[in-house]
Amino acid sequence: MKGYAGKYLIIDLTRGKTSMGRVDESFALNYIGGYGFGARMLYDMMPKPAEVDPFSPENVLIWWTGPLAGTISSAGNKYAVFAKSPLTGIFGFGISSGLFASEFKSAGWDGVVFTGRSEKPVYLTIDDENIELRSASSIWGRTTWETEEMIKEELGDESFTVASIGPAGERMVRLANITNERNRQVGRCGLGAVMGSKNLKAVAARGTKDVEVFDIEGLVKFIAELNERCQGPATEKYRVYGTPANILVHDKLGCLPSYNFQRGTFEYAEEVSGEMMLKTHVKKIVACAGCPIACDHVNQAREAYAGTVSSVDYESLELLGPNCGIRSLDTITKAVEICDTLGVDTISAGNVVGWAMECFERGILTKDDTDGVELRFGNDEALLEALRRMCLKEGRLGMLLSEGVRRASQIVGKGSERFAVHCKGLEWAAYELRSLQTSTLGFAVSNRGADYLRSGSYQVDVKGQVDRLRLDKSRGKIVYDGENQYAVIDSLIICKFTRGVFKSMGELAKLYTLVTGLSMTGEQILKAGERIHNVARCFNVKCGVTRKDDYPPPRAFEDPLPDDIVKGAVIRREEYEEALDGYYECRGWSRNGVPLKRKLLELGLSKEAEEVGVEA
Amino acid sequence: MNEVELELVGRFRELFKRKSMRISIEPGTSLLKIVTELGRAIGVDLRSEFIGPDGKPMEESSLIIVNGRVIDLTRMGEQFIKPGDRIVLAPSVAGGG
Repeated sequence: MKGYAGKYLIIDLTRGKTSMGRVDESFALNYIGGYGFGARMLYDMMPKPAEVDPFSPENVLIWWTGPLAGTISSAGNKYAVFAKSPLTGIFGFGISSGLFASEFKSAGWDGVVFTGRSEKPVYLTIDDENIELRSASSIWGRTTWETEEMIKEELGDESFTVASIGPAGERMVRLANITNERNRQVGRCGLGAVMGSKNLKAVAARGTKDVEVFDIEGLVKFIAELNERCQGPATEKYRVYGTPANILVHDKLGCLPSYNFQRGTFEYAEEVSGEMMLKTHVKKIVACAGCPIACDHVNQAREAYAGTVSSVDYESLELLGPNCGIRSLDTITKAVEICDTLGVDTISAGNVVGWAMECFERGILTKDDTDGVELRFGNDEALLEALRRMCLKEGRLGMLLSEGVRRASQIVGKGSERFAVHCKGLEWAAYELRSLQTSTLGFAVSNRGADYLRSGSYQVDVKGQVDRLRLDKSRGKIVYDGENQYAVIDSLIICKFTRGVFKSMGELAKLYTLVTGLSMTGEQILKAGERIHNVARCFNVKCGVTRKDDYPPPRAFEDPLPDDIVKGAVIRREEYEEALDGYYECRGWSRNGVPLKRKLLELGLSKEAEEVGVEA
Repeated sequence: MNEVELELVGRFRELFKRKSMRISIEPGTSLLKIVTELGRAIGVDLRSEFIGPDGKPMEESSLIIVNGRVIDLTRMGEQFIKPGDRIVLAPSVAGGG
């Protein structure tokens, strides 16, 4: 079996001991890598997840690469991190890119599993076969960017790549992320806070080995073809404008969330558009290892924040911009820098601050609650101050926001839960609820909470393939198909920006076989995707997730959109129920959202069938 | 006045070198005709931004939005535009790395 290193590390942080596990062929074929390996292992290592406090030593923290990492495969150098999420209390999962996965895999490892909790702050170094837990006392308290520099200096080797947490992760802010190479993050689900709870500051990796592939000639030929396609129209938008190109398109469609999802357009959209950003703020466009696309647009702020540099993608730009009523690209660039260096997810951060701004304007939060911050929409300084305090858990406002929008709204009460835009505790990303209704179904049923990355279901809405202002039973199938495909993509792990480059699942299977030598068809790899999705759902069912958790927030049903082009758009509850039924039917789950025994057995999941599955 | 508002986003701004423009149409003109003539005016095959050689939309085809509604690109010939309509030419939506 090629492509895989065939082994992974197990680090017992409590005892400071290291051991090794094996990746065998059956595991590889059934679960592919990345998402699949993480779901399988989290399920197996945490038999009673409902009883595990995410911040306790009993939580496990799992890192996996995929079979493509370290090879010449286009846009395949990614890694994924898993744990029970402290933000959602269910399956926690995030993916990052850059150079880290390539170095990690080249060191001869597919993944690493952390158990227990270190008594004192440590970081892990992986230098081929040399594995070491080193003291992190001198870097504890440092930003992610400082940490990266200090570790490289301490190790005396610039070729180490570093994935670390900032002060937010150390303080167990529930929105904390993990950052590698300054601008790349395992963003969602608060997995940086799990690292913090384990006193694990960073992982530094360096590899000098080649990752062997099965058919190098065939792979070179196929990759050359894919790379050529990557220079075509399917990826042009990413290469030129990056994802911020979405701002104006979404504004024209009435699906650009603004003022905490109260509206679907933003009157200053031009000022924060990708077109404007490219003209005035973008200083550099960066690619991940082996990527022929290069989508990462790095901004440099001007005037009051001159010298500030940060990588600004659509989600960060939107949630910290229009969703907070902010119209200054300088402010947004600064806001992203605060989040990246102190270590929180920009999506969740922009969402929770937007919620707090709405609460402040409605009089639910007062200056007493915000420690004097005039937390109104469009107040640039208030946004930056709120973010800083949130990351550092400073004062009443910082403590409140650090909990994430679900918990914060439960703490405040007074009806503020109605304005909290999340699902299963994960803050909604930058896609409007009522004007992209297939997308909303996809977000709401996702395994990690409100998630724009697990089904791509917004695509049928924005392409006009369905009536995006209504729902019906057929949308369930669209979400089901998308989830299974994305589970494959996230297990290989390959960048979703190449999804228009591959012509079929058969081509993804072909890539897998060229790399690994393991025979795989398009149908088989899609079945693996379905299997993986079900394992993650079974973990969530054990955490208490059922149908009641697969709904969008109240705003989707109760507050019609006021914007002219989508005026009155709202989700009709009966249509949503029908679409949800349609989704469960496709999945082979009960009407309560629990996988049926027969479906689990069909997927080869006998353990899950016994522990979780229900009869029809 | 038989005019419609044309808004341009992303690469369409580069092609037309402007953000928006007003164009005169005969009542009942099809969207396909408008797109074809706009392309002719700037010397590009604008239709190919939306429709592949096989007559179907491509995986990442650009979008045409009329009065907030995304148009089925296979039926541009049957989509008739009336004065006062607002047409947007935009790249497809990108998301999720």
